[in-house]
Amino acid sequence: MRRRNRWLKTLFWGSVLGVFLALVLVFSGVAVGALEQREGRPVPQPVPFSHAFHAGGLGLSCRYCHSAVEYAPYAGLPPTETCMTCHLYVKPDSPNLALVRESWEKGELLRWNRVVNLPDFVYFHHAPHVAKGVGCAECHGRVDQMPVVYQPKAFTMKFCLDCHRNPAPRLRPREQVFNMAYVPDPELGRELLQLYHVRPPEELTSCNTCHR
Amino acid sequence: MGWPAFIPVTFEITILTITVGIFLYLLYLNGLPLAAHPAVLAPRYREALVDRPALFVYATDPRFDPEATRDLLRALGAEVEEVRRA
Amino acid sequence: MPERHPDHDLIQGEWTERSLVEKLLEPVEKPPPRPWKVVAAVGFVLTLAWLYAIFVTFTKGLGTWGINQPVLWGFDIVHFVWWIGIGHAGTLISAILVLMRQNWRDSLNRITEAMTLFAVLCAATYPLIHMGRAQHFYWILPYPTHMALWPQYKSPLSWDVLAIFTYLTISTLFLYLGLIPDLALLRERSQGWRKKLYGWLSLGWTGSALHWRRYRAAYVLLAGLATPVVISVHSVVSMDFAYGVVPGWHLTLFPPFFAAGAIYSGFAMALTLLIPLRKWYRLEGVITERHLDWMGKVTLASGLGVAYTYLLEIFIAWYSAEPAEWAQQLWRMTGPYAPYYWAMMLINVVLLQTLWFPRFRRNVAWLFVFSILANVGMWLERFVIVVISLSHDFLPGNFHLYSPTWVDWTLFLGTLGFFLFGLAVLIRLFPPSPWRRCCTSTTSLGSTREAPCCTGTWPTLTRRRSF
Repeated sequence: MRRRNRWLKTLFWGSVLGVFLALVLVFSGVAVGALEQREGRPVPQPVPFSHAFHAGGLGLSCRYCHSAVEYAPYAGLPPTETCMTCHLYVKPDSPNLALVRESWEKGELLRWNRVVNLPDFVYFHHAPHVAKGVGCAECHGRVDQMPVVYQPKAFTMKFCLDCHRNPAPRLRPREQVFNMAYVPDPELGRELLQLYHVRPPEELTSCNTCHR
Repeated sequence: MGWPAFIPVTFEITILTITVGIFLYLLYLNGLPLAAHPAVLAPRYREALVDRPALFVYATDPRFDPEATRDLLRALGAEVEEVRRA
Repeated sequence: MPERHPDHDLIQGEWTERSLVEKLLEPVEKPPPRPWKVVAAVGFVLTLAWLYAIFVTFTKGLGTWGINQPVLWGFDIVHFVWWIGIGHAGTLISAILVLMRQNWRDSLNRITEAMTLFAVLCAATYPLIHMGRAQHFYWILPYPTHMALWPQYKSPLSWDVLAIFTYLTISTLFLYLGLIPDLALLRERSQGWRKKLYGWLSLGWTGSALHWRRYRAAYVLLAGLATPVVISVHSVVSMDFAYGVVPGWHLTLFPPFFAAGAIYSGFAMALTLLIPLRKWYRLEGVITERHLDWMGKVTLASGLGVAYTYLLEIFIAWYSAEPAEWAQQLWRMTGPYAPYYWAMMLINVVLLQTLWFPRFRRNVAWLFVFSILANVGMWLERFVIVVISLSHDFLPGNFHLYSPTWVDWTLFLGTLGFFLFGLAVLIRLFPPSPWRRCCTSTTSLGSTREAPCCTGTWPTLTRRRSF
């Protein structure tokens, strides 16, 4: 009898405690993002292209390949021609480039695998971000150190809003946008906020800024 | 200054937590839930639940004396039964 | 020597505590009467139809409903408000009448609390399916997310969520707390799966005098806390409307208006249920004609509050000199929906006055007919407020009539069925009137004196032990 009572009481008060802890877990916010698993997985590509070598080692600008980033919503992937401007002369016979040469000869596009894919209900435009001094590395991370590119952060709504609510600490001078190693300075950021006419947080966090 | 708009939710949550708290505290004070209790084994427990007075004297009481208790209760005109824990 | 039941002045006939217990446990322990089977069967079939209508809503979307610009709150919100209102009688009887020491509530509180529970459950389904994407309903809860967004706490719609959730929890706790002693007795009296069920649910209640004392204290505390909730819930529901600018909604009068209407419709529904119930289960001695008379008086009092507001609404629309408000009032009285408006006025203003007269109020047949009419009248009231107001807002180019589809109707009839089926099952499992009377309501607030029937009658466990 005692054992059954003890067992029942443990079960009852244990589940009361369990429900309470579950509520704390959910409402305290400590578990936010715990289920996000979109970070850090390198996306395999058909051609073993290393950003670490081209952008980091050789120091090519991002814009050399992603040429539309200053003007268009989508930064763009380079056509085969862009690769071949160099690779007609540099390592023209490398087996790693076999697919690129095949594409060049047949005139067919290379099919790269997409690393970042925002949902369709989100409107994102690269140009204003570049123009207002948001560095590539703010979202894409140190691509110049990634042999195979991956998405370094979960692009949740919170991620976007954190910056839209308080952009100043993440701004940099326009000429530093493509500098992967630049460390933003909050003091300077506040000045840039004025200088670049960044809109106030009320406007940046309006629903239709991103959901149009 | 929008604070009055936050009152209804604050109020409802206050009531909700207090109510659930009172209910759980009642159970805690009464030592519930129980899976079994020796009183239930008393022969006329069912009547005691409804309209019969009944007095349970526990053997775990440090001053428990079965004989004296039995005599006292008998003398007062009660039926005395011994209930053993199953 | 059998003693008279301590509640003898409230019940009819010669009862001892024990004979009353036998009587009150009959619905649970004896095979159900034929009407029970009919009600349960009809309720079950309608519940299945309801599930089908919900299925259609989920798979095909809200386009299957009759809602369209500008009437985007149609039957779903009409019925949400209607059901929530019905729920109010239970909490009123459990809570407010306890505080006012109206002992006659003891015969009625179980069935009305059960009514509250199922009415609020029915009500709660409407906003859920009205969302369209019901699987995301938890987005309205204020929990931190990766979206970094919070529900708009300044909106009555988000107050509603918490008000109804609180209300549902409190009504359930009330019903359950009241049931615990019944369950303990049933546990001792039943066999098989029922014994197991009652055993688990009674939480090992022993009937100890000490436990009873704390129990009564907790009961009164819960009553004190539930009382403001009863008032607040329908006030919050009314603000869903009053915060909007739609003509016919934008009135500061709404919270008391809705609270009165809720109590009125709740008592009407309680009468609709209690009158057949006492007949089928031969409970006339427990739910006496005096009880019905008292309920009729509460119905009258709250109904007068509603009637007063109807008249005041007309006055305000005229006195405000706001063209849209006045146009709305005329639209109600003379527009295509005028029959609904006048039927509502006939029931809730004119026919209500019959309850002033004991001749009508003590006539059970009329009381039953009137209670059904009052349910209809309150349904019409919600229809007038929700649908008619929306169909005639500011821009004439926007005016549009509303017509419900078969899905709307099935959802309504379905909740009615679920309500009846749920109550039927509940009555079969738990006694519709608590056998342990007076101990809950005669607790002396702020005094150590106990009700006479509660001293000495209980098996005493002298010390708190852990068994």
